[in-house]
Amino acid sequence: MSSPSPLSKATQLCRGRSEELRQTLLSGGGSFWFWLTLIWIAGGIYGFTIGIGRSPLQAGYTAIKFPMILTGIIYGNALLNALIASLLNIPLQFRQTLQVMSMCFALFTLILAALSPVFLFFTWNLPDLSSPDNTITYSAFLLFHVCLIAFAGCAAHLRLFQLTTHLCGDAQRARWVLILWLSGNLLLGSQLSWNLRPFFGSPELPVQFFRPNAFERNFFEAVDLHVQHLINPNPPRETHHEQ
Amino acid sequence: MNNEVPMPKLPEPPPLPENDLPPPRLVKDDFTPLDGKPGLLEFLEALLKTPKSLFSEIQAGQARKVALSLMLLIAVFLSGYGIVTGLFSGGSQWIWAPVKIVAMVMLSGLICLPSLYIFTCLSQVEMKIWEMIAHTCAAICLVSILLVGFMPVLFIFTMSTESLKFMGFMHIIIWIIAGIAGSRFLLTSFRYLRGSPSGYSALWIFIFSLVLMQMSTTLRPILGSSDDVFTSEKKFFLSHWLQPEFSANAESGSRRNSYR
Repeated sequence: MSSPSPLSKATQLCRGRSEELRQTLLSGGGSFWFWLTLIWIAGGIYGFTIGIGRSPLQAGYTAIKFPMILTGIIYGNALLNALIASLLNIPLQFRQTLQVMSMCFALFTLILAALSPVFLFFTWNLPDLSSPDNTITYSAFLLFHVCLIAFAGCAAHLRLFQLTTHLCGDAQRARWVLILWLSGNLLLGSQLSWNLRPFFGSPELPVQFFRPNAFERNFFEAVDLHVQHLINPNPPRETHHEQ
Repeated sequence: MNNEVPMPKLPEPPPLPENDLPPPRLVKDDFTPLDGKPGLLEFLEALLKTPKSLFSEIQAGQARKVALSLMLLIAVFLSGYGIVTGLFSGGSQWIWAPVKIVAMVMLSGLICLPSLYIFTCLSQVEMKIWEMIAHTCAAICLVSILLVGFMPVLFIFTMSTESLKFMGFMHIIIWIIAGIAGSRFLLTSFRYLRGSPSGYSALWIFIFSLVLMQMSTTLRPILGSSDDVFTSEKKFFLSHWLQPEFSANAESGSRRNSYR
């Protein structure tokens, strides 16, 4: 029997028929590399659309960094996620947990890649972002990105929930697994995205792969500084807004 | 002698509450495809009178033919609407307004095509790419027919008023009305295919509307006119629509040099 084409595998993932996905999970380790490749291609396309608003070089950097974060989350949390699954009696081996995670992130990047022409079109139409007159437009554009990233994340995790429910046959346990996996992914993902900044690239800062202070502080300290900046009218220099 | 015993009449079952009724599903046997070799007019008639037959035709392997026919109809109808729009400014806008309106819709559709495919898959609708395009074209064709329906009203106002602000507002209202009808049509067609409404389709319609609005700004001027066919100035559609110069220009009644 011939193996399904990459397009039909991606379509199958989007349609999210739990039984079909379970069969894919049981089919072996080859699928993991397929999903990882998909994450790098689709995530790279989306990363490019994020960075192109700043410059082509930034687009290239973000095209590498965006899938890099997702891969970092998959591998970084692999052991933790497998342990959580084991503690909650979800019948998944370590390799299969990795595969479930990669399927979830592959769907996330596929949705964002499908929206990339829309993002590109809006980016192309944006006025000069370095002008102070266009700060509202820039903020609206960032908000548009954030909303669609949130939507893609919700859609991907909904599929993950359906799959884990199908695997363990208990929605309550599947919910707990989802909450714990999601918490771990958010914790690691937020820090990785802080270390690997910039993605959009502030118009007044140079284009760089890493900021020189990439490993200073953590994501939550930065959030705390931003909150203090809102309260305190005299912002310290190091609390520069960076996306 | 008649030995037949009359059967007692069974009481009528109580009607099901509306929410419990099974959702309609598009099964091939449910609707009959169009007779013979349907052409443009038959597709148009089916779209207006028996959309289910058109859905059936799409499902029966004629999706590409239906999609291409509907695209042609869309181009014709939008060109008609564009000519009336171009009448407001006159000059070369007679030609450019229809070209730009057709391009606006077609390019927006092209930009949103990948997301439509993924969102259709997320809705768990079993559809091939051409089937999906045909269903979307049917909805856009309905929008363009409605726009044609508004043409006499627009013509009267175009001949009567000099106010660009008023005409711009009127065009937006007409597009919103036609857009709502088209959205309802598309959601209904997906509901028939899926069995229940999907939030993904509604989100796609919202994104498509945003792209359409931005495209109308990118290809400006469409309603007004200027010395250049296109403008190189980049603008977000909201800041363009709400710009004070436009209002000031409109109130002075100028049709020329107004980037709309």
